[in-house]
Amino acid sequence: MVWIRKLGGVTLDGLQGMGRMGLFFVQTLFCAFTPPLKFSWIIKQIWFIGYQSTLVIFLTGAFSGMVLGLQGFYTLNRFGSTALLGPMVALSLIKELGPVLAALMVTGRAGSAITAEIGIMRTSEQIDAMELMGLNPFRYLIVPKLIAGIIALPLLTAIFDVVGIFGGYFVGGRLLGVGQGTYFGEMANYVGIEDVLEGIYKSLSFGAIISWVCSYKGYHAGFGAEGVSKATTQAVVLSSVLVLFWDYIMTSLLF
Amino acid sequence: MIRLENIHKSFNGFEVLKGISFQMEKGEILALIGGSGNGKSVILKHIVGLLKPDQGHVFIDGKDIGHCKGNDLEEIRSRIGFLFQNGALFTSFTVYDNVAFPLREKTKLSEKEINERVFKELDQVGLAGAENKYPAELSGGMIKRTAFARALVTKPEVMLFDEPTTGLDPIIAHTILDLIKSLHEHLGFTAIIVSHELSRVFQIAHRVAMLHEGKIWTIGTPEEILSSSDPVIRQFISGATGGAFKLY
Repeated sequence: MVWIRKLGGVTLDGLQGMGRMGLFFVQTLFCAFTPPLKFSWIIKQIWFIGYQSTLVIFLTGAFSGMVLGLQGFYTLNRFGSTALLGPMVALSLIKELGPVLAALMVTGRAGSAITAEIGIMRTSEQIDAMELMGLNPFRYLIVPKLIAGIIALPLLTAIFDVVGIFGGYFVGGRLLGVGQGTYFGEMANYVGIEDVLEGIYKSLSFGAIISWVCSYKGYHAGFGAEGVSKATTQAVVLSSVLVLFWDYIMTSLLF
Repeated sequence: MIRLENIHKSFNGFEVLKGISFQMEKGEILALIGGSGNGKSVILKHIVGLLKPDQGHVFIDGKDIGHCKGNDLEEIRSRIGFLFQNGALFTSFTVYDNVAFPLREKTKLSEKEINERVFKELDQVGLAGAENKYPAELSGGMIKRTAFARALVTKPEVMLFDEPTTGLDPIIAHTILDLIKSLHEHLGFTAIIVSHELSRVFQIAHRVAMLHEGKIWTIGTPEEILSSSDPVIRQFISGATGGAFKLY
């Protein structure tokens, strides 16, 4: 009986947590669709989440593309189909790896910082101070991060894809001998706008997931340094898992 | 102006406030004293609606803040200034921007008018010349004074001071309390001061309320408190170890 009670308790806690997260998202959306929007705060967040992530996205994209080029070349070579290396690299990146890896990198770089920043503001009573000024912290802290995430992620994913495709060409074309015309020409034949849209939809939703989860965890961070560090860890883990889970749902249901 | 009626509040099953009731008149200064962890800050947070009581009511000019939402809550809060224990300054803003922030966001004043108001407040708290510094570059006393300026800049009718002197050396602590006194004489706000600087705060306050075991143990003029024969009050004021005072 004890373990049934414990199981029930854990389940109820989980459901309550999901409910709170859901309400947090609804409140954020409400503030995002009602004026005033704080444009300067949004721009600052786009700069932080987007611009400051470009180097890490560039490096990750380049190496992912290079690995794909290398692995793809040897695999396709077994079937005498190295001409399809370009489409293979491009489709892998545009439909799957670009949005997912870019999202995971942004979670690690910007998502953790979002949680830590909001968590410290919470524990040092800066959020309370804002509320006491009669200001809604969601408008200043959460909405700008959500909008910035939704704007920045597709752009970062695009950079990831382009850099990855050229990384794949560098290895497959320059080092292993696939012709430039073949690599890019076949890509144009096999990659359609629906593939690009799939990647864009995914990255848009991943941007929202990262901003939502990381902001929520920071906003409800526990007391002191331990509370903030725990919230940051939970935010990164939960965001990463949700990104992968949502990727599967979108791939299986929508495309 | 402020009335608390039978406030009860528990955290994780531990009852911190066990029926707090008192009221204050406009322009009055009340010193709230008591041991650490007795719930003094919790009372202040109930007054501004940051915490909701499990039972009881907090009235500000007849309005129950526990039941206020949206614009009503904003209107009440806009009349209250709150000095947090650690200042709660926005760390990414300069001193100037911290003080200007509520004016920029809550009023339609021009940047020129905001500039005048901010410099006036900074001058009032002795921070002229520090406007471009960030909170990380300030001493403890400067942080409290910046927070004080930020709380004052909207001209609140009520000021709540949560341990304004904690962590400061005696001279700066007295300077802050003197500042509260002189600004009160000048502006006439109603104030609650949570402080452990008993000797100084007893000179400033019109009344003193002592919180003990989750209740208002006693409330009266500083003279009445100082002349009390209650062993708990005597021990707390003298700071003697061992006795009737229960530590948390």
